[in-house]
Amino acid sequence: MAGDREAFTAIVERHQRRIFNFMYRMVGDRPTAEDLTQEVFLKAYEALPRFRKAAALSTWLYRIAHNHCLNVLGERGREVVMTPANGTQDANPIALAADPGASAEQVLEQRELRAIVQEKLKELTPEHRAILVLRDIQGLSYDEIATALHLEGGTVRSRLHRARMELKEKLRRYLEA
Amino acid sequence: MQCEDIQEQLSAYLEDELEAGARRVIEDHLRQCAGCRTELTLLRRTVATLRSLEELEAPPRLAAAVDRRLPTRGSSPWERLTSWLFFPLHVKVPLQAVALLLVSLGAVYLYRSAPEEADRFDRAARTRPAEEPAGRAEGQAEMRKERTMQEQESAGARAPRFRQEAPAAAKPQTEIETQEKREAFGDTAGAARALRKQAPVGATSASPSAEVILKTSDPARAIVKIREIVGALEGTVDEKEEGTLIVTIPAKASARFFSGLKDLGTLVSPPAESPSAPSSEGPVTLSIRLIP
Repeated sequence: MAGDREAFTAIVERHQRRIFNFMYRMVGDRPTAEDLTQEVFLKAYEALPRFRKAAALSTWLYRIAHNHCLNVLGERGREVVMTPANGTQDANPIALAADPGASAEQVLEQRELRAIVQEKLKELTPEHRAILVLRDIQGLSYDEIATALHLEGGTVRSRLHRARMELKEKLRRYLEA
Repeated sequence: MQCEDIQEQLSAYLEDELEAGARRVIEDHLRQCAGCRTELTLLRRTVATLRSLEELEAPPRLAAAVDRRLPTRGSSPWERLTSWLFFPLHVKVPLQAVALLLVSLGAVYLYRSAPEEADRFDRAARTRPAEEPAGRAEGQAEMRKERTMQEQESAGARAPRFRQEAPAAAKPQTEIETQEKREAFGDTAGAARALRKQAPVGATSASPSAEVILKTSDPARAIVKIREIVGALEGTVDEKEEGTLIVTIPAKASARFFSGLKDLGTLVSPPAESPSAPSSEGPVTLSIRLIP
């Protein structure tokens, strides 16, 4: 039994970062994302005996995370209000510094734009948000997304396109400036 | 191709998923259409901004927090249930023992109080046929039905009561047991048969099992006294006609009843102590005629 727990803790440590990031982008709030991430792993622990090795463990965890997130958002109507300060605060200085050609002004603009994107994400439906997070933020393949979201490949592509177009419209005035 | 059709494919174009022919069509259109070029640029920036969002570090000690919230014992629902029921042993087992004791005491109390309740029902039912005029078959059938229902309602105490009322000496033990079982499982016809045997109904079967003639100087006072005695013995009295009482008492109370009668006058025709039943069990119905 103790061995099971240790093995499971190793799984948590290996996958916690991506599940936490998925949740954070879905709810836009760190404490809530952390709480939901814990719940996802607790659910995974209960469901582990039913896990089929045909799917990657990470994809399976994403599926649990996605379902749990939709349930929580549906049940509690939990649309976490993001403040620009919250988004700005999460900006990673290392990531920003990785663009060596950017001027100080550009860095500030990029930082603000990221905060705005995070804020606009929450205006999308959870389904559109999830597919953008998985594809454009976390870089999953179409197949992985299809498995995680329980969708056909064609649906993944069409939904992804619609989600991008919707976000593009919400960002238009910031992107054109 | 219309701009709308082109824009529908911009996402796939950006992902480089289109075949060469389709790709060429889009590029040709983009060269000529400034609007679609702008849309492509905006879409590219949108995707680029999303991809530039940095990945956050997981909160420190998240794995430890998950570990703390994992079920304490076992991973299967059954093991968790067992754990929830019995652990910690030194707390839950004594609590469960006390609870079991209390439930047992409650059950014994209910079992002991139930027969009294049932007997009350039974006595009330037994007196009714005597009040009915003889020959009213329909009414009697109705009453039998009602009594059967009462029997079913007081199911908890049914078996002990039948054991008291059944003339056990007149029947083989196995037959009695069979009858009890049949009635316990809701055999209403069987129950009705049993009632007819135990408590006579109608003109023929409601006849008193013996007649007692009591000579007394004050019949009115004697009637009052007889009612008091019978009431004390938990029996019933019915005045059938002027100066004649139909009394039903438990057989085992016969001695006390006759002893009481002797104080009221002279027994002209004293019956045997238990004339209706060979055993001392069950009710006895007597006709008491009072003469001056």
